[in-house]
Amino acid sequence: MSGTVVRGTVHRGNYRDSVELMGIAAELEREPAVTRAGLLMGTPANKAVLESAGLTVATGNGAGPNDLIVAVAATSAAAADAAIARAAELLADRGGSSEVSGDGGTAQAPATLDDALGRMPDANLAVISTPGTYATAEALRALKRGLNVFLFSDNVPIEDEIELKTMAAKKGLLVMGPDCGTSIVDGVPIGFANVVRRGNIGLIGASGTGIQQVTCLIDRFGGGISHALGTGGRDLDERVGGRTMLAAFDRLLHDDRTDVVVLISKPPSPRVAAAILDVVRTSPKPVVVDFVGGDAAAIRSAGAYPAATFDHAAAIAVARAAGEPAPDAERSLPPELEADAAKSAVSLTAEQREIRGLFSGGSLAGEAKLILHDLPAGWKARILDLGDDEYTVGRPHPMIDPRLRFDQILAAGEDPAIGVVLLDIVLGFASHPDPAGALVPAIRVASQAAASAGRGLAFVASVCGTEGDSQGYNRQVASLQEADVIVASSNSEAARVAARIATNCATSASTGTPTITGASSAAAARGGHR
Amino acid sequence: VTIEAGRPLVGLGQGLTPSGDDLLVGLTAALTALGQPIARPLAAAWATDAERGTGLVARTFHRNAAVGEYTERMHTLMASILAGPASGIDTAVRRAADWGASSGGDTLVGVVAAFSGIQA
Repeated sequence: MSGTVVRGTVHRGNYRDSVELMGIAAELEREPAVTRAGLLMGTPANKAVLESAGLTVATGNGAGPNDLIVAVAATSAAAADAAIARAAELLADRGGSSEVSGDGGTAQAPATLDDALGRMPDANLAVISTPGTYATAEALRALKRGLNVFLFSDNVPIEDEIELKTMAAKKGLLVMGPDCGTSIVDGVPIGFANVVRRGNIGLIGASGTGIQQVTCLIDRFGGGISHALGTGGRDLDERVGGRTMLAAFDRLLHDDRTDVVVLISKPPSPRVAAAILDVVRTSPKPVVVDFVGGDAAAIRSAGAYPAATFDHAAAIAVARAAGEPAPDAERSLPPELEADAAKSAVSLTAEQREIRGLFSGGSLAGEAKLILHDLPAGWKARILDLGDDEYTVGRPHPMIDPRLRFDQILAAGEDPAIGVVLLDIVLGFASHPDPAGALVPAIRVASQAAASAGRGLAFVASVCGTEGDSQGYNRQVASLQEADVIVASSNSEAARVAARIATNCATSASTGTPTITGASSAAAARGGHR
Repeated sequence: VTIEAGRPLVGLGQGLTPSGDDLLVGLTAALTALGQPIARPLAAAWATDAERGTGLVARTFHRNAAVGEYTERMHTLMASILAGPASGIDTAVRRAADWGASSGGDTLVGVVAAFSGIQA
């Protein structure tokens, strides 16, 4: 190709995990003027390839097999130089976290559990994130030493989970996990968690992003968190029997700082639900239960408050924590979102009848699926949980690595059947430093692609996070809004906006008035919806 | 499979352990598991090339392959493949593929090459 400029640099003795190298290459290629970026070790075979591509600059520097070569092809010299400089920056940025500290002094990480306990004898919690095969042994070791366990590891057999939780019960300890992503213990965030106000509401959740969404909304509604305890996704399975949820519930009932308890889980098996509600029935503290789509009547008859959505759970908890009565679930949309939904509906063609959910949070995807279950005829919702195992093989979770969603958004822009793209943006510790910013370029390209094909494409998103998170709630919202994304205040509200766009289209199609104004279309849709 | 055919792959490709090295190690791991006597001489020849031909991490994998040693992940994978369909091959393959950015997939290409070579 004419007009291609190739540049290369050598970073000597620079050892980076392949995942990081690929990440940097992907980030360089995000710049439209960069046609190809590669980060390779300076082996003879790789140098031969680079030389045949005209990249003697890098190879001429005498790179050896332990040196890292950054090679970039771009449409202009300036773009190529900029990419090379950016690569150097990124390599320097990531240096701190991945390089083994060589000073050998006081900062050296402990090599064993006993080593760690020797340095911190009053520790009462171990965080374990070894591969699943070894996690059980480590967790047993921790329990034997009287430590509570936060078990981040997945792929732990269910028999092991039962054994660990049985042992923990005997010792009066808590096993959060396996596959537990989120907890806040006594104000200390563990795993994926957000910076939230402390207060008198305690949570127990079998779902990570469910806990994140509810804690963030409690914070936004003016409430605060005493503890948020993850149980691991399998805890309410028939075989595990909710062992951790029951143990954690007992703790929160006896915790002076906790006045209201919120339980979050996908619908448990009936037997486990009954066991949990039996205990809930005896609780002197108000209990809010969100068994996403679970049996509300059973919850009510146990004296607890059934919540229809995560924001409903947060709203009830905050009200009860302040001694006020529990509010009903919010079903209407604020006027500005009604207007946005009406405007979007008008821009869609008659072929665009799919809502495509591209989610990083599993529970958020589950909640959206439930809300979008009932759509007007001709519409369908395809909600993808991109954090699920089938998508994460060989790559980091989409809350950390935006590439998969980036590509899916681009693909949505080319798909004439998709009218609405629904997104969750999850902030907090361990999440991507700028998740909205990382997706905005794809959103712009996809919008443009749809527009040049003569159709609209609505993007609807919610941001799960707080202003205290390093990514900054307001900054994330602003960067989405700049790209014409409709930003709802919660995940369930975002799903309801998507549903409203669908009902607006259906209404305008059935009345044969494709260009009705925002206000009347919204009113018509609301009237028709009830 | 010949020594010569594998040589150009030593040190070739993206990543901290170049793709070619991952493939070759996967190939000899599978041949070893299948009891093919050619596995050791192949691994030894490529390990010799790797001394100057690739980075420290990949070189170490080659050195171990040359004496018939592979990672636990590879052993688990081979054991489940050889034990037959009911032994959780899916999980073992998924875990093997999960390794690194592309190294897992590259290694599996070598494994597949070994199995299809033996069947042919």
